[in-house]
Amino acid sequence: MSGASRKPRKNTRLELEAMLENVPMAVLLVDNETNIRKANATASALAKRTRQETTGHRHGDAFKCIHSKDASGGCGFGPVCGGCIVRNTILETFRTGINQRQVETRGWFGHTEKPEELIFLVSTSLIHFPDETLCLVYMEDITARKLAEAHLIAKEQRWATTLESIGDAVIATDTEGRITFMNAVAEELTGWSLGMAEAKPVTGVFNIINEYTRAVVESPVKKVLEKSMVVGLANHTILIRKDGTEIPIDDSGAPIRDHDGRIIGVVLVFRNITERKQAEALSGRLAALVESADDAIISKDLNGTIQSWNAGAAKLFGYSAWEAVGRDISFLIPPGHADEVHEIIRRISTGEHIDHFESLRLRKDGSTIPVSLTFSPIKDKNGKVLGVSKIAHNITERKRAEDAIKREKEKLGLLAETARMLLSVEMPEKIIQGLAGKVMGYLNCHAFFNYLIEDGSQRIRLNAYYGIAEAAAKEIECLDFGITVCGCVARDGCRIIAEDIPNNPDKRTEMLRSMGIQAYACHPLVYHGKTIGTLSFGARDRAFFTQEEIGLMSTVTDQVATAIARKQAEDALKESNQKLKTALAEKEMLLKEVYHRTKNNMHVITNLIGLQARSINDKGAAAKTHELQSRIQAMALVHEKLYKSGDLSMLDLKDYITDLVKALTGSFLKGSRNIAIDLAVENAVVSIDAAIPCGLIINELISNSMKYAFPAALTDNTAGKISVGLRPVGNAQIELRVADNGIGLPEGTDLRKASSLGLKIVYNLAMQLMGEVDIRSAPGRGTEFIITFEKE
Amino acid sequence: MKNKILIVEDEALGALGLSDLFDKWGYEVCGSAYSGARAIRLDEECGPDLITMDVRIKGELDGIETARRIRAKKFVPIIFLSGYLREGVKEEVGIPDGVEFLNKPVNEEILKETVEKLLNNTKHTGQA
Repeated sequence: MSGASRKPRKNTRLELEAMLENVPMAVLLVDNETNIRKANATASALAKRTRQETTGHRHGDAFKCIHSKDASGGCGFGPVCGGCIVRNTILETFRTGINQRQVETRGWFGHTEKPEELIFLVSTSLIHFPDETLCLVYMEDITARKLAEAHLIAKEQRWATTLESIGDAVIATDTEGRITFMNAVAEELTGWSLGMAEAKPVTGVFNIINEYTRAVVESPVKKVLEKSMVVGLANHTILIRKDGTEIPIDDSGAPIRDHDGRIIGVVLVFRNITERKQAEALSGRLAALVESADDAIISKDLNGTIQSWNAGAAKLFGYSAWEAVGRDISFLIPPGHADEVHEIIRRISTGEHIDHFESLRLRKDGSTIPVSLTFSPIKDKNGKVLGVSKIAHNITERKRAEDAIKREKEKLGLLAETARMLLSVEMPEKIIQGLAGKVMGYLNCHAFFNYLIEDGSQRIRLNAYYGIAEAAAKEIECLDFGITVCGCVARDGCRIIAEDIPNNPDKRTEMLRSMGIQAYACHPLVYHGKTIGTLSFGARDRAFFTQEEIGLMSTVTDQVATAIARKQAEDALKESNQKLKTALAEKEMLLKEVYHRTKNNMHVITNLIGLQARSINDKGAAAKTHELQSRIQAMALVHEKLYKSGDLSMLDLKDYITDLVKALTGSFLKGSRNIAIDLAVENAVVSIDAAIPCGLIINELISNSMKYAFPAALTDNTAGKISVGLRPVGNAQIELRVADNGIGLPEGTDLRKASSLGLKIVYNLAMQLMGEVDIRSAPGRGTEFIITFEKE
Repeated sequence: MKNKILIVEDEALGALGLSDLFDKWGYEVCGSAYSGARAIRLDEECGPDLITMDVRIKGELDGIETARRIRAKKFVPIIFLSGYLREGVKEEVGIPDGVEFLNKPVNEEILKETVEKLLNNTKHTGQA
């Protein structure tokens, strides 16, 4: 058999060639010079040549390799032919006897302007024929496959680039859940790099839990693989990063399928939703805020169509959101306010903001409600005004308070005005007409009556009225106590409020009913417990008065009563003042008369004494009589000063002493005695009780000096001097000083035990004045008496 | 032994006049007071046998009240002197014995008799 095998049969080559002819692979039979001995149909087709054109040519020539023209020898002689893989593979096979398998090569073929690149795999197989050894060359054309592969790669690269560049994180896994790909965002969010994560189970890298329960969430990869469909992640998913920090994410997973639709992996796409969460939380809070606000918060478009309506709006206006949204805002606008809405929308359209605009709005029940409105434009990102947000605050309470304050102010103003009116007139009862008119205007009353009680009678007389005809007034001009409302009030001194008079069976209100008065309040004018009249107000359009109205009427009534009583008291006071003045004047006259007569009587006495003295022959007795005369004159002078002074009880010592000393020394100096009188008396006003003792003391001391201080003065020319001084000491005391420059008192003179009547008088009077007496005297060096006494 | 007399009188010259008279009649003027308070003190100091008491005097106490206070402690005859003696003043004073009332200006003879009478009565009744 071996001989038979070494010796191929003759038809073997032909049979082989026939076998290869229809193989769908290009097959060449070449010799060791790379000449093609035989090319099958596929090869010829590949070379785009006929069988004749290929057979007997080197393969490069046959296939029109672009390098087959490089040299005149054709294929194998060109400068680059040494590197030809086809040629080398064939030659290598011949040289080594080892068949080569699927060596990839490429080349440019076709001697045209546009040569074609072919990529193919070359395999060789030596075949020994009896006469020669040839090489079978299989050429697998893989150009199309390679091109497709290149396209695929390019496509993949494009995808990869896209995945890298998108904002979402992307993780791809194989069907086992092992990571095959992560983009940069996924790396950043998970904290894992692709290098570290690749081929690791996705659950270790993409570790997610539920935000609230903190339970591990089932792997989306597993879910996708199980269900073979796209799955979204559950809400509230938290990704735990490699470093343990947490990120809220939002995401989906999808299967990756091959051309045939088989699942070859899973792709997870997720993103960081921290900001979105925050925004959602904020808008949630804002929505809650709007919804829970007490104020009505409404948004509308620029046409005035309501877009949103919160609970506050429902409460304030009475319409539910369901009723209001989509309607035109005009149903909230009371008649006469339509222009206001247009003006607001116009201003808002220009981007203006309107604050605290006070107006009225209609409620569902038809009532109006005072509101403070704030309007703001709603703008888009570009600042374009899309609509209006409106906040309406119910200011009913505030308005009510403001109105109350305003009314209170008006009331106080009114009361101040009435008080002023009443105080500024001589006859308060004469202005009640005007005054009550003002009060009626404020109270919105239609009638008033003012009655005054006629002195000492049981009747009242109409003093002022308003709101009834003159004839009707005549009829009720004079009323007896009782019978009517006013008559009862005047009699009892208690107010009567008659209300709902049309339905009031009280007989006393009959007259009021006939006048169409429905509500009537009559207050007594009372002062110091005495009722002097009534003041009443009536309304024809309502059956009741408020407490405030009745309070005001009561206050005004008191004012009027006080004013009338004040007037009466003033008159009485004036009268009694006048009586007092008259009585005082009479008393003053009487007192002046008494002083005058006393003075005159004292003069009569001194004259009588003078007459008596002249009839006395005893010189000593006559001198004593003169002393007596002098003392009485000193007292008479006090009375004279008193009745001449404006004040009948006080007199000025300066005036009195000056006159007294003049009178005294005048009588003593009738002779030619050389004695000077020095007066230094200041003003000191005292009562008669101090003036008389003071005058008598001065009289005694000057007389003493005149009589005893200057025994030699009559004969020699020695100047004698007597000083009289008086000055206030402090506020309460007076110092009286009488001095001379005479011979001085006898040694050992004690005023308290003095035997002379003069000094006795001085001492006793000084004691009566509660005074202190200081005597300074020395023989030949004069005498000084200083008496300090209390003014009062 | 001279009988001692205390003069209560706010008019200095009035006091002086009385003092002169009592001196002349042989009595000793043991004190002269212008006010009730001073009268009460002098009465304690000098222990008079008789007091002349002006009804209107200076200070818070009038003559009547001063007399009442002095007599509340001991017996001493008192002669009230007044410019104007009201009706019923005796009853007002309410001192039953050892008291006399005289109008001012006083008659010297009547004063002398009254003083003597009162002093004698005191001796006879043994009151001192």
